[in-house]
Amino acid sequence: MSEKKVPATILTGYLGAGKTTLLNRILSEQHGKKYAVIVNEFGEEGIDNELVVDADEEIFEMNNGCICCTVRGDLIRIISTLMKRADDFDGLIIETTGLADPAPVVQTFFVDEDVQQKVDLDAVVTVVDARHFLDAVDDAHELAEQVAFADTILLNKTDLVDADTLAAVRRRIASLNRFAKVMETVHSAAPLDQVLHKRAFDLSRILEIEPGLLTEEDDHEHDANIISVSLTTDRPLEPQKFSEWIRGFIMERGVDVLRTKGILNLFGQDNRYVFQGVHMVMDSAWGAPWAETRRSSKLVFIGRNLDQAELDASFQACTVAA
Amino acid sequence: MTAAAEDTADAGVRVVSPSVGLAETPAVGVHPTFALVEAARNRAVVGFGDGSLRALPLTPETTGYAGLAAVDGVPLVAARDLDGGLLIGTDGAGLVALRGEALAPVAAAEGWINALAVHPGAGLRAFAADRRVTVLDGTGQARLTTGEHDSTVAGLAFSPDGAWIAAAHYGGVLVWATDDPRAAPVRLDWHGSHTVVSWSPDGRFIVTAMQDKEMHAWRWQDRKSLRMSGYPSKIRALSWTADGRYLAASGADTVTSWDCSGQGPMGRAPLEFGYVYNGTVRQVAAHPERLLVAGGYSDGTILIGRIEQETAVIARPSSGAPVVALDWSPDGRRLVGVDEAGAAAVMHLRDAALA
Repeated sequence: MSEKKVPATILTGYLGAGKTTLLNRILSEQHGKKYAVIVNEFGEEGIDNELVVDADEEIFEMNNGCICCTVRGDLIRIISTLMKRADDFDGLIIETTGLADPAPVVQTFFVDEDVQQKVDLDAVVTVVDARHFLDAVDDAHELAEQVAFADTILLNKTDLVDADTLAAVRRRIASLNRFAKVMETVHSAAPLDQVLHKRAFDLSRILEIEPGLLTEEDDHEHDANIISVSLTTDRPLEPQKFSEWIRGFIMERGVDVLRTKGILNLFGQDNRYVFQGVHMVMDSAWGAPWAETRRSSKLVFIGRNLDQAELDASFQACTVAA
Repeated sequence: MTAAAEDTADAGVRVVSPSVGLAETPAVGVHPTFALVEAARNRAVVGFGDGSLRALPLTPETTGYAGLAAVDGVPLVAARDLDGGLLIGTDGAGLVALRGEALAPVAAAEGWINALAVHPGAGLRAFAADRRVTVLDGTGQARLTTGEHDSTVAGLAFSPDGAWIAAAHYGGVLVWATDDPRAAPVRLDWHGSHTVVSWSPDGRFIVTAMQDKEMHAWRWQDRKSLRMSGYPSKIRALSWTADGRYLAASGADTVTSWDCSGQGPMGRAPLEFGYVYNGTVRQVAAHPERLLVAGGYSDGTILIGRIEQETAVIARPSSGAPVVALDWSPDGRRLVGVDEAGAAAVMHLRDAALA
């Protein structure tokens, strides 16, 4: 029996964006690999795989007093059963409905211990239809959330739009989520090594938050409901102060904070402290030792109605007084 | 002659405790889904994720499984059937019965069968497929088919008199009358996902285990409810002592047993035994007669403990793989356990263990 955990990819995007096309590419191009596929709706396009399980989107709130802490009960059952089969799967792909909120799916991997013991969430991959995105995004909060949650975005059907539209779509995606990798595609033809095995939720890889993006100027539009915020400081953080602030903030604003990632330089510690979160569900660990002489803390949020200046002031207030 | 000397006289039996002899089979590398004793055939049947059903002789010389049959899909749940065979629920092939080495269909099902219950006294069998519960009589005739629950039914339990069937789902428990298909169910509501349900042998309490790592109990008489929380991990198993006094639960780093006598567990701390370093309790099974409970741990250890003394003996040392099922023979002399790697243990209790 293999003790290696199976990587799981969550595939989101509006109906017609090209999710199933991407799914079939993964299934046909990864020769000799064995995938289990969980779908929520059978689209017009068939799925070419031996094992396709139809899920029933049962969203369960947890009883921990946090209204945004939801899991997918059907996924817990299905994944637990799939992992009991003799088959050694190379991967698990979960295709959500076009209107799905990705949070319950993602949180299932953080909250349920049976799922956690067998499966590692690899990444959230969102397929965006370049033609319809700008028209739809203002009216459909699900669409904005799917982009905000993404680690990888396929900006698809780029052959059907002109250069100006494409640039506008890219700007809008960046305003929602500055940290995801965006790939322009036609017929969802992305290099699969850019889609699979990203280990985007692996705490030991949070180091690889794209450093360039963290120091970019905040030139994005602020009209968007969902924005990305990045905070950084070279002064060490006072552990107690930081802990109190981040707990309080997440308790109060967790409903609005979709994703959080951080690499922290805590005062008196030789190792990085890394953490990530989805709404109020947090996961943290000690990371690799600091090798650099210049240590710097980085914290990113993607969420609704976030105030960069206010967050930065609170964050800077957690540093050890100079 | 001492108990230990007796043990060594049995070929194939390891002595891990003076009161318990252990026979083991090696791991088969497939994940078991259930293990149930069939006393009349002196065997246990183990279901596996690859669809196979294998027999394990309950003799002290047990060295391996014998292949029996295979279901189409995964045998998700099983229970001892009315006439001694087994009833098995699958993930797509409906409800089937195992008689000897033969499998026979019992009922078709829409979707996966996630829960089963059998009431020998009332001659009833119940299964839950997706959001509906069906109650069958001994001939396979449907006595009751419920409407859709608000979510998938994850657990089933008959009342001790067989007059009711309790179905656990997201949001609580619906309790259906088994003899009146038109009667509205009794609603026991509590926010959250209820994954296991159990009815006390004295009929007083309905208890669920929840996704939230806690238990919820309702007193059937007045529907008064209470919660039992503080568990560090998921509660996968609940088991009542035969007299209905204690309810054992998995989910902690010890086997916890709640005293449900009198006013029930309210305001009482559970009795505990069996702390295993770095292990949590995955499975519990109360002895069919005495105040003993078997606990199966995440590291493969199996302990047998005395509830009221809060002491335990090791029945099977750690195998490294979590225990997924435990079952007693009806006479309480043998205990069967299987772990996630497919290794099985048959434990033989000496008189000393039952004294």
